[in-house]
Amino acid sequence: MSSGISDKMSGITKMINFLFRTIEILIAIFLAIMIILTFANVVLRFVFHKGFAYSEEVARISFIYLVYLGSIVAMKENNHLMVDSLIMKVPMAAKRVIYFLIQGITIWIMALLTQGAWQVSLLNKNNSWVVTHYPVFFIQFAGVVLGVAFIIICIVNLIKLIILKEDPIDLIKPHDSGEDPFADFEQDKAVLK
Amino acid sequence: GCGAKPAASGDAAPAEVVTIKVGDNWAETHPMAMAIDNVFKKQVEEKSGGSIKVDVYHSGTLGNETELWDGVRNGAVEVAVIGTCMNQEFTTMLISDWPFLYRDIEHAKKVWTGAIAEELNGKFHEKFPETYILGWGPNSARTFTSNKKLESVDDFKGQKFRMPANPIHVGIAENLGASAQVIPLNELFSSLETGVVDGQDNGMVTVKSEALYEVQKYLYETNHIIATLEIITNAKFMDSLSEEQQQIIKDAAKAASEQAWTDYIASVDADRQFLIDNGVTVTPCTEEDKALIIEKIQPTLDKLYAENDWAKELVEKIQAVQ
Amino acid sequence: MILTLTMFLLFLVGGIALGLPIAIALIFCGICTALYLGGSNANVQIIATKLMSGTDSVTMMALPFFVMAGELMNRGGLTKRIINFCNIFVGRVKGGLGYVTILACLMFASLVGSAVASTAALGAILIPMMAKSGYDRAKAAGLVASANIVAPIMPPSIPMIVYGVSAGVSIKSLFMGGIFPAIYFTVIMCGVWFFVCRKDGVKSNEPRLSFKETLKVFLSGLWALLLPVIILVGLRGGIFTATEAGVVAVVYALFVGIVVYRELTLKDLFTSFISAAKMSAVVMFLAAAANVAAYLMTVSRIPQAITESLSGLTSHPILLMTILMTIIIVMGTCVDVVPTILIMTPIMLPLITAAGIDKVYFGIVFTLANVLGLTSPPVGPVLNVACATGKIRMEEIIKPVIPYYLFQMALVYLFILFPGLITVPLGWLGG
Ligand code: NA
Ligand code: NA
Repeated sequence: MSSGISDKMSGITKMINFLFRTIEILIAIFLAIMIILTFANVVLRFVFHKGFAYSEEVARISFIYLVYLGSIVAMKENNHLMVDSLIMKVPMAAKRVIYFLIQGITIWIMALLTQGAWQVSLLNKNNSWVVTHYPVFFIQFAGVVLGVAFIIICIVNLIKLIILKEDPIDLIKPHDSGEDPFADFEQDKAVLK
Repeated sequence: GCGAKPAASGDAAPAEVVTIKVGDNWAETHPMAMAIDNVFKKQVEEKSGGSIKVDVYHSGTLGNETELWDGVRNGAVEVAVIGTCMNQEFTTMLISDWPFLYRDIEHAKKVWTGAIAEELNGKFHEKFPETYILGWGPNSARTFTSNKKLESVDDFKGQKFRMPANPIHVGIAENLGASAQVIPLNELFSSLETGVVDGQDNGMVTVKSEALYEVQKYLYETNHIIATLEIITNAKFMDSLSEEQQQIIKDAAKAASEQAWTDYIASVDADRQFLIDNGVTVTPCTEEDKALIIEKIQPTLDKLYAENDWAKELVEKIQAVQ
Repeated sequence: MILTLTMFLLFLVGGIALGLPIAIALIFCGICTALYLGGSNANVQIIATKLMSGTDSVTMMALPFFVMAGELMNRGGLTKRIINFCNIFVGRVKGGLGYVTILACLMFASLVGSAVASTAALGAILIPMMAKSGYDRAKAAGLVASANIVAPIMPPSIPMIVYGVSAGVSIKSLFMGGIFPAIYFTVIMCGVWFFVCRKDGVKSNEPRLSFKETLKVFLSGLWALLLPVIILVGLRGGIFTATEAGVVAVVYALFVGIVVYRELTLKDLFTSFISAAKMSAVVMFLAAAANVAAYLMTVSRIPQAITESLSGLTSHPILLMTILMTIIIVMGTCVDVVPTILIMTPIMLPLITAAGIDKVYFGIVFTLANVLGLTSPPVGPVLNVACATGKIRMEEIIKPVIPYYLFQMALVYLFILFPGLITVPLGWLGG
């Protein structure tokens, strides 16, 4: 690989990492919202004998987004629970075929999900949640985002497999994008400057 | 949906059997669930000569209310028996949760098996052309239960009630001087047992079927909301059937909702006695108490009327039904 | 019918063996079944709807809350101090922390009704704790997963409430009936652990601490040890629900970690948030995908067909129970507990009544058979939580879970052969 391409690739990788770091911070915020609202509810009830109805809805909405966005991050980092005994044992050619199949099936399923989620979003375009009046469309649309994101991740995986000839074993390895969110964040900022 | 292929039409070979999935959210002992089993399923299967098969799924095994609603709209589910989860999109359906709308349950039955129901069916189809309402059955009349003394309107003060996350229900509890807590239904039993909340509001049917009487001492029969359950079908599916089959389904749904109301009314006394036998102190709500409650919840009612321009006319029309 | 079932399992097992993420394999087998069933079942919107509703669960919020609490306890120095405290008592016993784990699970089980909540709560604390003390991480995770199955057997129990409601059986009687089975269960867990840890169980060789040193360890751990006490009092005293207990634990761990022990940094806090959120997303995505598969399993009406074919067996209660519970155990491998109870209770109950089997006794055995599915792959919610909180892969946890699973299964059949094991103590308790 010429250094030009690899520079470009690493630039893109940096951008992607920055995007995923942002998603991570977002899901952390959603979790924080859930915790704060639920705790506030306990305190309000116990101390002030009061309740507030919207806390549950906001927490539910946050949880849904947390799961959908978190699943995307987990997909990119290969952190979804899976069994890799077969792909580990077979010869290289078979590994490549199996990896190709995994990505292919995932793309197919996610295409159906995207289609279904889009239709459900449209179905609910005038519907809203009872207490907060949050549009149901934006909830169902998370399915479209998830589907499209999974498809993009799979396509990138296929590019890595077929064009960049990477080893499938490296491609299925779980990799956390780093324990320290700020170290990378600072780095990414430096790169973007 | 992909490949929601039209079911067998009337002139097709009778060998092809149409299967209807019916989903509800109730245990099979609920009057509405019983009517679906004993009337709807039975009539449709018998009268269609076996050309229509009905598979009933109780207790939400096919999906919760919103899932069933989505399902019946997109055709994944042929028939759904649900409350008014579409009331944000079509606010007229809020009528189902309107507080103190009827004189008594008989009155509610007359309304929802009569001309007003027919009229709303038309409006509903205009709003959601992909569906038809086939009938309006009873959910049940909501009552308040508590572990603390609850025998008069004054007793609400300072108590904590689990209420559905819905401004009408929350408004009622708060206007009565109680605090409204939002707790998911599957944590309700434990929450009542340990005292996270003192009470809750549900029909006696639910107090019995969800075994809430095991952890509640008082029941105040306010009947503040007599909600309905609608039998809704997918329009594309319905239109794909023969005229004869359509009529069979319509008649069966109508018969089922009438039967459900009759059974429900008959069950109220039995349910009350059951609760009393199980140590619950049941207090009826006198006309004076009812008037006092209506006076107290006026802020919620005012807000409802202000937000819903259709309400005044419809409420008056319903109240005029004799 | 048989073809549908074969296909369902073939695509599920095939997909998983191929190396698809299990969640994707579940949706995959669901879609293939839907296409096969055809008609209104072949509707792609079902995937979106079921996936969405699978994540929209207030009770499952206990998961991120307790995982977060565990993260904070580990990073804030609470876990360390609890280990030191436990080691005073069990440090010199081979596999001592394992017994502590089993007893902690029983204690926590008497507070919460969901095994997922209790595994999230205890797994996030106990697995790292055992690993730090030198136990094999996978074995620790396997133990924690298996021991937490007791949560829905020991009252309170969400599965028993669901069964009680759909079968019309007194929930309090079911709760009473669960106490002794929970104790048998705990004894069996200790027995299996005794053999598991014989080979490489960790045992501390440090000299016994003096009274003064013991007191010091206790005092330094006092704040950390207060956490379980607060949860216990709060839940029993009706101050908060099981889900809310997770948040209370988070806030308390935060307070102790920052203010008292001063070991928790802002960076730790952010890392904990992200890590807890990601972990929960993985488990919830799998649960949501299982929701898609469960729907197709339901509409295929396979369970009904199998059960209906057993109506001739009502004069042989033991045989009937054996077959029914075997069906439940098999179904438990790929359908979650609450859906299984909701689907199976109404179709099994007529058989049970006809065979003259007590509905409370049945409910207890049924619950135990059901919760076994929590630790059996591919849809093993407790297994998934244990993997996520223990930071190990699915394959690593399966082998350590097997011995417990087999003995727990044996317990189910023991209850079928000797109903008195349940009914006699239930009589004592007045259930
Ligand atoms: Na429990
Ligand atoms: Na399982």
